[in-house]
Amino acid sequence: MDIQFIDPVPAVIEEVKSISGKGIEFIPKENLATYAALKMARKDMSSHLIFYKKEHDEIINHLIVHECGHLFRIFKCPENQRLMPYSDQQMKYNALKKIEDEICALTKILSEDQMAHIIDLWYNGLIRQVTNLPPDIMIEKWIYDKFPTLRQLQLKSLNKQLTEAVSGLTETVARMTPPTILFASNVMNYTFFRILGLHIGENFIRRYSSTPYLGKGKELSAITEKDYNDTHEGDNMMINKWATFVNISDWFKWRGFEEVPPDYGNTG
Amino acid sequence: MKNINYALMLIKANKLDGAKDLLEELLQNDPGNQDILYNLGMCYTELNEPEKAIETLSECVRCYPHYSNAYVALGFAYSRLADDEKARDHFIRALELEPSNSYALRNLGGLYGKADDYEKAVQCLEKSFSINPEDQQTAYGLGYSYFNVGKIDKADNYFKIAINLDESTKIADMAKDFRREIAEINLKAKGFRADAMFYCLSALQLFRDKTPEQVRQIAFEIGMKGRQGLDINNPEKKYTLDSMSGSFTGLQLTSYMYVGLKMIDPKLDIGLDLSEEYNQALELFNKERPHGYTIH
Repeated sequence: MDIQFIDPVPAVIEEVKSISGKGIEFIPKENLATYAALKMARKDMSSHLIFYKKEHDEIINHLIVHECGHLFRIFKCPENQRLMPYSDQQMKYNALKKIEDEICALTKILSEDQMAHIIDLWYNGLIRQVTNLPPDIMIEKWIYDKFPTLRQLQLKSLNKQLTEAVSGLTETVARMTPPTILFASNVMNYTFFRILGLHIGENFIRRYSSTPYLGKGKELSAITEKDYNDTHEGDNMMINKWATFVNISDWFKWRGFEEVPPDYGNTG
Repeated sequence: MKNINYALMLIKANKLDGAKDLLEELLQNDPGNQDILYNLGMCYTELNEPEKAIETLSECVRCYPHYSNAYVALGFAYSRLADDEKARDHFIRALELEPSNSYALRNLGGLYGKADDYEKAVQCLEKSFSINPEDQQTAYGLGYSYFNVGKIDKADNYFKIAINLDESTKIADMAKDFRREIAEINLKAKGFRADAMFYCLSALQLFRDKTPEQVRQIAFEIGMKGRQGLDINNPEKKYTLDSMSGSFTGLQLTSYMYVGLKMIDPKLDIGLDLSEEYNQALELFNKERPHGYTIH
């Protein structure tokens, strides 16, 4: 089904065009992890691409505004100062080598053919978390403050995200995840939901009470609230602070916004 | 609020143009800041604006006369202008202030190397490397200096270190080229290699039953392995391939690659001269009796 935009989504999409000089092309796509995902236009692309699941609900409106939030932040930064995180096989190898013992311990539980796939999920998942959650906090605050009509959908969307996050507190996940990755992931989730909960008046972190993530989570929350410069540059510096805090600063590096693989603009 | 830490992130990501713009902006609000002056000067040098670099870094050393890194950066800017004398003076000044400044030692070593004084170059670079063993440029410089004084084994060792430090850089590519050259020197130092000839013959027999695509695949895989460095003088060391079962010595794989590439295109410059061994093998191969013989 096509997306039924609600207010203020059309106006936000218009603003994207005015700030970035390019419109958004919406492309239906199955096998997406979320209802919507964004590819920001580089110089040789005619438009930004938002992929969406055909089967979705109204939350998609919140997700689109959220993705536009990322666009605004990046395109407000001077072109030659935009940075994007990236990783490669070497960085992945070095990172996983450091937790080799933890991974080896899991071979008793997981079969060999499952391992490679799951290791990839852990690695990419943690990088996605550390490089997205800091700007996501600022974007969600912005949505809450600027678009009251979206608040109900935003809450629904955040609760959906919370359900996924708290699965990291279960015994099953704990048994199948290297402790270093599990700890970092839960501390970052706690920080995200603590800060946002305080901002929008919701207690998202009930499930985290009496978990070992509380202390470090509060510490990271304090760092985030104290030092955040609310721009793309500030996002990147905060991402670095988070990465250092959870001890994964060598899991990724930075490169210019335009330095993407040649097939980046493909719509498939 | 603009922040120098972001400029440092841009420099690390090699977005020097963006870093320069940001640092210029920061300098307007904080004209005498040591870190801004230093990093801006470095950006100018890297962006090929050495005059601006000299102006900025001179201001830095005027404000902070004991800041040794600024003298190194200033020396580096002068070397970009080919003013080696002033460059050397500033590196030496940096070392007077901080005798263990690895960058001053590295750059001074580079200047000696440029003047073909490899003995002094090695002295400086060895000292620099002992202080900062993670520096790829220093490892490469040592490889280059040792190569030029004919200490091939030492040169090879440092080129290997340089490659291992970060394989993704241009320096690593240059080190790989030198290692190939060293391999060839080592190979030919022993004169005609009968062992290589027999490996060539074995390759001719092996490839006779393979399609051109299979030969290409094997030769290219060996070529890729060769970029990491194949030890052709150690028959104990064995390598494996994805495209062919078994384990092989470095010389064996090099011979197979040579034959494979010659079969694909006889005019190809392979960069390693096994032509005599190959021609002898060809002669033997063409004389082969119908029942053949096998070389293991």
